[in-house]
Amino acid sequence: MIEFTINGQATSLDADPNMPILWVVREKLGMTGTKFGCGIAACGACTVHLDGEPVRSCSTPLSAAEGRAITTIEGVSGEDGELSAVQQAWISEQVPQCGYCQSGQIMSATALLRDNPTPSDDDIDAAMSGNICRCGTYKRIRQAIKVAAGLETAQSEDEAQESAA
Amino acid sequence: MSEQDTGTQAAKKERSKVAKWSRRGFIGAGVLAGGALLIGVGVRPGNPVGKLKAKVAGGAGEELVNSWVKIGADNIVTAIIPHCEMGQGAHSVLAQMLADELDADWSKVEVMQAPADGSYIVSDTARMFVAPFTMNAADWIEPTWDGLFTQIGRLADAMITGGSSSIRTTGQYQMRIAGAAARKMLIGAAADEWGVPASEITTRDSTLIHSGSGNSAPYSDFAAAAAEQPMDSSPALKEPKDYRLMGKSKRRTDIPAKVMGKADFGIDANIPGVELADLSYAAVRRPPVPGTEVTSMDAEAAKAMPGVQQILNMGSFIAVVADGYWNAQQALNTITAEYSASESPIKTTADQFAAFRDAIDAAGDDGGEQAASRGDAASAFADAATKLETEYSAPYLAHAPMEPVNCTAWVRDTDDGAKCDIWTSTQVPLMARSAAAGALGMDDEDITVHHPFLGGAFGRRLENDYVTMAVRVAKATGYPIKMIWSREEDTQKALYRPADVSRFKGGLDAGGKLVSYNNIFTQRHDPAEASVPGIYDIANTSVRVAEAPLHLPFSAWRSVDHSQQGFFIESFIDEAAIAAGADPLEYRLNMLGANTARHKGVLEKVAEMSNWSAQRGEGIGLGVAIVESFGTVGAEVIEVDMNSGRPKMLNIWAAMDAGYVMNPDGFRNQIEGGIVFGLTAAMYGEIELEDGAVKQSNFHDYQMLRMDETPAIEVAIINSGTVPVGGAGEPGTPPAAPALANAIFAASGKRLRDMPFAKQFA
Amino acid sequence: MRKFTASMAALGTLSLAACGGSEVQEPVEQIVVAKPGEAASAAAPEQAVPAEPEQPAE
Repeated sequence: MIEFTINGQATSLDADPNMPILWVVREKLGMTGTKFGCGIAACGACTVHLDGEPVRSCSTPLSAAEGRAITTIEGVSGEDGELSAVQQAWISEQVPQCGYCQSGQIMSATALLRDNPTPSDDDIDAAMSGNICRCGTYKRIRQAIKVAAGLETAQSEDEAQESAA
Repeated sequence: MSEQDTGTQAAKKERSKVAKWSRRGFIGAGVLAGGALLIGVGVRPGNPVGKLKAKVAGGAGEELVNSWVKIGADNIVTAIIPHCEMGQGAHSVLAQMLADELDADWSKVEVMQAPADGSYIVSDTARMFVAPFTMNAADWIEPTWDGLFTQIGRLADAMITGGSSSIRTTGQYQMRIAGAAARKMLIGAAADEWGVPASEITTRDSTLIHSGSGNSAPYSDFAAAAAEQPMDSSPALKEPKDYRLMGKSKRRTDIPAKVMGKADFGIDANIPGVELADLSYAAVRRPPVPGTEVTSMDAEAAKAMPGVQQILNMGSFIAVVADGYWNAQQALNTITAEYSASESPIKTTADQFAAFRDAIDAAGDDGGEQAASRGDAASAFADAATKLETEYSAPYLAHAPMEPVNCTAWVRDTDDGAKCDIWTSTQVPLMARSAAAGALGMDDEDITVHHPFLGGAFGRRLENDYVTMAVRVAKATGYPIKMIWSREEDTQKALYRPADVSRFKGGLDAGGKLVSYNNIFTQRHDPAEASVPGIYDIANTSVRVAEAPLHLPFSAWRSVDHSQQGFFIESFIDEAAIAAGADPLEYRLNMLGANTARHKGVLEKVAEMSNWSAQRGEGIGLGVAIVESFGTVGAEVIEVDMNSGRPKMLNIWAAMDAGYVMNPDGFRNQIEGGIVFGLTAAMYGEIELEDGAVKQSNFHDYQMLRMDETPAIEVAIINSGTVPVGGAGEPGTPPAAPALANAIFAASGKRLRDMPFAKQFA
Repeated sequence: MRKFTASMAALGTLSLAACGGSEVQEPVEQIVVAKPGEAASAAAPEQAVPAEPEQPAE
C-alpha cells in the first residue's frame, strides 16, 4: 500500500511500486490529462509536480511518491474551477494546436513562474526546453509565460482580430 | 490588404466568382418522422436518415435543420464538423464559416465532431485533389460532377482530413452553403408564420427580426418549421464586406479543454460500461525490417510477468495483453523472437542512396519519365556561358506526433451478431472502419469508429496499419483492449517521408539569366506539381523522374513532396543567383513568370519585413525561399548567426498569400508551426537504416527543435482575394529548410546540399 | 485511374485499403495466462526500474 496525495486528495493504492507515476495516474486513477509521449523523460508530455517540483512521470516510479504530493494538470486550477494565470494566458495567446503536449508545458511553466516570477528569455529556455511541442507552438508558449508573469499584456480577442497585413 | 491581381488573375477570379457559388451544395433531402427535414450531401433515398438523426440530434427539443447544423431548444447552434481536429483548428474555423452565413450568435455556437458515417464524406476535398479542374465547373455540368464525386467519395470512404483542405473545400463549398441555406429556411418559416414577405426579415445573433411588425424570435422557435421549407441548394453567400465572423481571429473552441487536461485524445478512450480497472492494454512489436514476419517467439519469461493476460504471435507482429500498458510493455521487452528474411536488397542508408543514384545514372541524359518540359534544356545547357551542376539529398523522416500511435478496440458477439467498436485518433475514420472490416471479415455497418481529438498527425494518421492490428488483437481476446505503441515502435516501425536524391544541371547566359534547368530525381508522390519550378520563367526546362525503390513504406508527411522539392529547387535557384552574382531575392523576383502577382507580393513583403537589403554583422546572413503549395504562396527569410561555428537562427519572417484568410490568428499559428516543423527536419530530421531496420528510436536520437533553438517568428498575411483560397496547415513547411540553407551560405559561404544540417557542424 | 490513386496518395492511399481484399488472419500462437480482473500480478515484480526518480531533461 503506497500513500500519497494527488491534487490535494489523500490516496492509498495497492500498486506495483515500480510502476511509473504516469501509468498510475492514467490507468489506476483515471486522470488522463497527463500524457505519454516518449517513456524516457525526453519530451516532457508527462510532466507532473512532486512536492511542487516538476518531474517526468513516465520515468518516476510510484515508490518515489510515498508520503509526498503529486499535482497533475487536473489540479492546477483553483478549487472553484478558476483557471490559473498560466492556463488563462495559454488561452489568451491561443497557444495549443493539437494540445497533446500542453499539459506538460503548463506544468513546467507553472513551476518556473512559482520559483521565478519574472523570468528572462534565457530562464524560459532553461525551464522549457525539456518539453517538446511537435506542432511548434514555442513562440506562443514563450509569450504566454510572459503574459502569465505580467511582463506582457494578454492578447484580447479583439486585438487578435486585427487581421491581414 | 494588398490588391495586386494582374489582368489575367482578375479575369480568372471573375470567372470563379460566376461559377463558384452556383454549385449545388446539397444533392438531396429526406423527411424525418415528425416533419423535420434532413438536408445534406450524401442524403438520398434509401439512406439511413433516421439512424443519422439519432447520432447527431438526440437531445430533447432538438430538430435537425440540416445535417451540418443543429439548432437546440436553447437556441444553441451546433455546427457538425466532418473533419478531424488535429491541432489545425478546423473545428473552430469551419464553425465560424457556417455561423457567419447563418448569422448565428457566436457565443452560442457549439462544435460537434460529425460521426464516422457515410453521410459525412467530404466529397469536395476528394474532388479538389482528384480533379481540381472541376472545382469551378459550369452550371450545366456541376450536378454531374457533384453527384459523381459524392459517389466516389462514398466508395472511397472519403471522410478525410488532410491536404490543407478543410477550409478551402468543405468550408467554402459545404459549411457556408449549409449556413446560408439554413438561414433562408428559418426566414421562410418565420415569414409564413408572421405573414410578412421573407425579404423583409433580417437576421442577427441567432434571432429573426421583422422590424415592420415588431416581430422577433430566436431561431429555435422556427427550427422545426424551417425543416418544412423548400431548400435552396445555391443560396446567396455573403461578400467579404458583410462578414462578421469570417476573417476574424475568433478564439478556438477546443483550446479551453486542452489547457485543463480535459480534452480527450484517442489514447484517453474510455469504453462506456467498462470499468477502468477491467480494461486491458496491449503492447506490440513488429519485426524490425519492413515486410518480414515473426517466425518464432520465446515468451517464457513474459508469461510470469505481472499483470500479463495473453501473449500473441499474430504473424506480422507480437502482442502482449496485460492489466496495464506498463506491465504489457515490460513483459513484451522480455520476449525474444526470430523473423523471416527480408527480400529487400537495401540494408543501410548507403544502400538506399546508392539505389537513388543508380536510378538517376541509369536514366542518363534523357531517360526516366518527363515531369515537365519546355524548350530544349539540353542544348541550352551546352550553349550556356556558366554551367552549374549540383546534387541535393533528403533523408527518410518519421512523423513523430506527440501522441504515440494507439487504438482501442472491442470486438464482441451481441444478440444482433458480431459488433466492433473502435476508439482512435485518425484522419480517416471511414477508411479505418473499412480496414477493420477487412481484418475482421465483418461488414462496415457492424463497426463503429469513435474519433476524438488527434494528438498530432502530420499524415501519419492517414494510415490504418494500427487499426488493423488493434482489432485483430481484440478479436483474439474477445474483450476490449487499448493498444499503445511505445515511442520506439512509433519511430521505428512506421511509414515514412521518403528519402531522395535530386540532381541539377543549370545553364546561365552571359547576363546571368538561368536559361537551362535540367533536373532529375527519383521520388514522385504528391502533389504532382511539386517538382515543377512553375513559378519561374525559364526558357528551357526539363524535369524527369527516374523511379527507384524505397526500402521503408511511404506515407504523406506534412506538405508531402514539397518537403523535399522545396529544398531541392529553392537551393538550386539560390546557387544560380550566387553564380550570377545577383542578390538571391532580386534574382527570384526577376525570374518570376506569368501569373505571379502573388509571388511578387510575398517576396516584396518578406523583403520589407526582414529589412532584406540592410547590411548584417560579420557572420550573420539572410536566406530566402519561396514555395507555392496547397493553394498558398509563401516566402520565408531566415536570419542566421554562424559566429559560433554552428547555425544559430535569430529570426524568421514569413509572408503568406492564401487568397483570403478566415481566421488570421489561427492561420498564423499554423504557419508558425509549419515553420518549426520544417526547421526541425532541416536541422535534425533523419531516419537511417542499419541491417534493414530503422536506427533511430526515440527523441534522444530523433531530435526535435526545442524552445531554446526556436527563433522569433513573424508571419504576415496577404489577402490578395484570389479564389479559390489556399490552405494553412502545410504551406509554412516547404520554404523553411531552403531558406535556412541559403542563410547559412550567406553567413558562412558553406553550401549545405544534404539534409539534415546540424550534424554537419560537429 | 492512375491519376486518381496517385492524387489520393497525399490524402492517405485510398486505393487498396478502402477496396477491401484483405484476408482475416488468425493468431499464429495465442498464450492465455489470465483473464481480465484475475489477480495475475501475484508474480514477483523483478523488472529493472530506475532506482531514483530521473531529473527532467534540460
